[in-house]
Amino acid sequence: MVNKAATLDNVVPDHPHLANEKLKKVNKETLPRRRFTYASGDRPLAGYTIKRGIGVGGFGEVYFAINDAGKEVALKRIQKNLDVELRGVKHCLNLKHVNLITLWDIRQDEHGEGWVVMEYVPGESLRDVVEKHPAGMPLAEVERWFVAISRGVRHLHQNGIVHRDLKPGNVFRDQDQDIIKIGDYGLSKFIASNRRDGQTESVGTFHYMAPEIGKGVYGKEIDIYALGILLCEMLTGRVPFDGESCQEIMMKHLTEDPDLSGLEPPFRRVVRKALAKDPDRRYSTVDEMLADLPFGDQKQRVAEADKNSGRNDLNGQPSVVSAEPVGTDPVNAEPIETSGRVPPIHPVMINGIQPFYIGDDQKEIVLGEVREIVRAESVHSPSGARAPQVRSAFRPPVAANGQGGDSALVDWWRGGTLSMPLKILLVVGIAGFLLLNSAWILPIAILAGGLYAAVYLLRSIAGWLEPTASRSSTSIRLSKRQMADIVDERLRNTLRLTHFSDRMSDLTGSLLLSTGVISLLTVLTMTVLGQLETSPRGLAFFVWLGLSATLASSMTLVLGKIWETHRGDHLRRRLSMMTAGLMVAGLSFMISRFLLADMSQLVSVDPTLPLTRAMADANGAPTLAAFLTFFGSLFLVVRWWRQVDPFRRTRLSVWSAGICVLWAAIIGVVFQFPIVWAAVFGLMTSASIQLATPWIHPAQRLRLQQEEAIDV
Amino acid sequence: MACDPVSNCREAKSFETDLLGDSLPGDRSVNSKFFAWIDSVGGYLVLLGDSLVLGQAVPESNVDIPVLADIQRRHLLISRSHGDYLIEPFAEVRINDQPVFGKSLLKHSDRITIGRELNVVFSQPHVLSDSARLDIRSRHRTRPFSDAILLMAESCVLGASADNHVVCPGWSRDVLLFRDGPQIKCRSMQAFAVNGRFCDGQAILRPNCRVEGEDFSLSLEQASA
Repeated sequence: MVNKAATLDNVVPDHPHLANEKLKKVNKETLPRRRFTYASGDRPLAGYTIKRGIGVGGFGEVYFAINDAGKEVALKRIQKNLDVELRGVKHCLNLKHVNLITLWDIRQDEHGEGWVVMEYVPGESLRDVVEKHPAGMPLAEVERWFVAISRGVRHLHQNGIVHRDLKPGNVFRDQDQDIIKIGDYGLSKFIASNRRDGQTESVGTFHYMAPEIGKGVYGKEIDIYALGILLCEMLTGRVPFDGESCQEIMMKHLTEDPDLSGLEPPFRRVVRKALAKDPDRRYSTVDEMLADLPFGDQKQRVAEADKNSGRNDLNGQPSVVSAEPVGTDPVNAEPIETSGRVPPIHPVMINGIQPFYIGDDQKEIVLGEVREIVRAESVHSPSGARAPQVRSAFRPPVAANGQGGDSALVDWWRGGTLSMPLKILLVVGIAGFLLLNSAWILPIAILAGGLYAAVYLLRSIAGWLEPTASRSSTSIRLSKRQMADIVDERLRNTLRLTHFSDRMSDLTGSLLLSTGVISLLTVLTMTVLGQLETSPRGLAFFVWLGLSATLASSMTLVLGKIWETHRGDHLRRRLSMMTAGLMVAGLSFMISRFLLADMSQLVSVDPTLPLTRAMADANGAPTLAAFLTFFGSLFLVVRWWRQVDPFRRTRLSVWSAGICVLWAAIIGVVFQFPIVWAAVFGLMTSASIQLATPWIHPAQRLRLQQEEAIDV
Repeated sequence: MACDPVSNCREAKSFETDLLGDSLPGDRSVNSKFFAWIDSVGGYLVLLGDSLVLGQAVPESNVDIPVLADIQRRHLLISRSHGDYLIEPFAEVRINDQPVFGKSLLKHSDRITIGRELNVVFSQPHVLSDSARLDIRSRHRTRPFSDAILLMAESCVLGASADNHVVCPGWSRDVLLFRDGPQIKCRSMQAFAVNGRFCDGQAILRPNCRVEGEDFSLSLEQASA
């Protein structure tokens, strides 16, 4: 049949869709966009004749069709994730509410494609109305639309359903009944899809996406967020977050505060609260949001609703529709606002029932380069945990530590049951133990370090390959790194605004504090490792150690202070650090000579090796060359400035300190600089600079960002 | 907007025979009409005749514009003459709330109240075309359902700009439907295909055809009485 069409030339085919098939084959490239698979007259689903395509969404195509009896319907073709999508729809199949488009049936055609049969709503969408009013809709219109949308959403929420894709294109005004209806609920969204023709979803969708969606959290708060955006758009004619690309829009959702200057104060407050980045700070129910809005006689409406609470939503719609008086003047009719229709308003969400996550089993959510498995709490979950647990699908245990990251160790350090001094003692004790037994621990540690490096390298390579593969198939391209970069940039901006003298006094404080910390650590080291060395030259050695560490930490602190306002280029910073390291080496060498310190403490490992001759003098003490190579490489290899960054993850990162110790030891081995003292030096410097530099608590960071926005 | 000059009225009959073929119903009062199903835009009832009867949509009705409303079976007649549209009421009709009893001239954006409730707005959106459009503003509908009724004189312009007969958001180029003798033709600056055959600028449209361009697609469907 289909091939027959290809032979047709001037002859008009009997069935237009046959020719249509041909066209698709002939010219797939040049006619890609906005194409509907079925044309007028096609009957893909028995009993229904397609009349025209209505639209193409993220889920598939929607058609206007007429069934054999003459009933007008909208047919939604579910092309992908059939089971997941249909399960969601099934859940909503028996919902009845005036402000929701009714779903009638779910069918499968002979090719196994799923079709949702639903009410056809003739009339304009909210998008059309918004476009007609570029400077904002009249207040009465806004109220009419917003109250109706809120009721529909509330009904969904009361039934444990999160709409997840509220946007003007999904809200329609039924011109037959003059009722506003929400469509497109019950379909799981935001699952990256490889649609035909590599077509990406319209950017419009992203304008209404709450920031936590990127993390795979789909609570009902995302609907509140979308309502906030809708309200803002209706009132001002534009969405609060706009941009050239979906990435840019998502960034703004994540980081930027909305510009609400065009809104009247009561609306500004409501929209600001609805658009809070933290879902817990938004309105917890639609009713709370409605109650805050200066819409008409809201209180009276609530009272009426309570009075009429006997007629609840369940039988609301049919009775209302049929009870429509035939002779009403269509212009003056107020179909939504009549009291009989108002469903009861519950001040609180129905008790105990958490929003239901459609497809409440494991499903993969792909957001750019981040691949995560999301396991949503089921509706039966007795716990209050609303946010689904987000777990990383693949993370090697060591790699989880990343760059000074969130390992179990760090968690223990931040929030374990032990008090902080005890923890410090414990850490120092362990460090002491490790140092005393370094003879056998070090080789193992170095081996482990090497293994880790190999794993890390492999993972990085995998990480580079994976995104390029997924990039082509995802519509939402958003990497966590990009998000982090934007957040970081904004935070650093707050530093740039800080006065120079304030930053200098900060630096002075840090320098003094680091000196204090190093003095303490030196005494501690002397007690633990020096076996109470009493000879003047022995004491001088420790003075040398302390002074060298102070020099190194001062250099780092100064450079870190200069660099903290920008992210900067790694290579350039490393080279600058190396220069600083060479200066430290020279000064340290001079100090050791000046103090006549007992450098025999620094006896090399193996004097027979060829390198040793250049690195150690006749007494076994390291030469200037040894100093230069050791300090130079240590400052080159470790990204010290990250440890003095006020926006580092934790104040004192055990991980960072450990890395410093490890590198110091490795460099010590390579350049025949005594391992133990190298490691001690690394530990002292790292610990002192981390403790001495100011650190901004994450909560405070959030506040900083918000304050900045309010000032603007 | 360059349109081919009108090759008017009577010649439309030959398109009618073309369109309806052998299944032409006996009642000659039914003028030729078809549906334009425009994807992503809407469904439009296009009427080619010069005099059109609007009446109640009942099973045995054979009026040109059947509307599901509390009106007379044959309620009014709209006729086109030299680019003007005249309305002739058979029953209660008001224009802009003023009752009309005899033939009257329709002007752009006139609000016609038919019977008590049916509200229709008459418009001639495109200055260079005599074609007109009827939009039902009350909660009524034609049968079968259509988003609007197009009274096509010599041409209909479909496209993104607001003064087209059918406003099609997002279309890069206008699409012109026009009469050429007995035929209905389609013209556009962008390449398009009719029933799968690529056309260079212009094509003849047959009944039940499919027109697809780079950013648009539509189907014509002959309408039975």
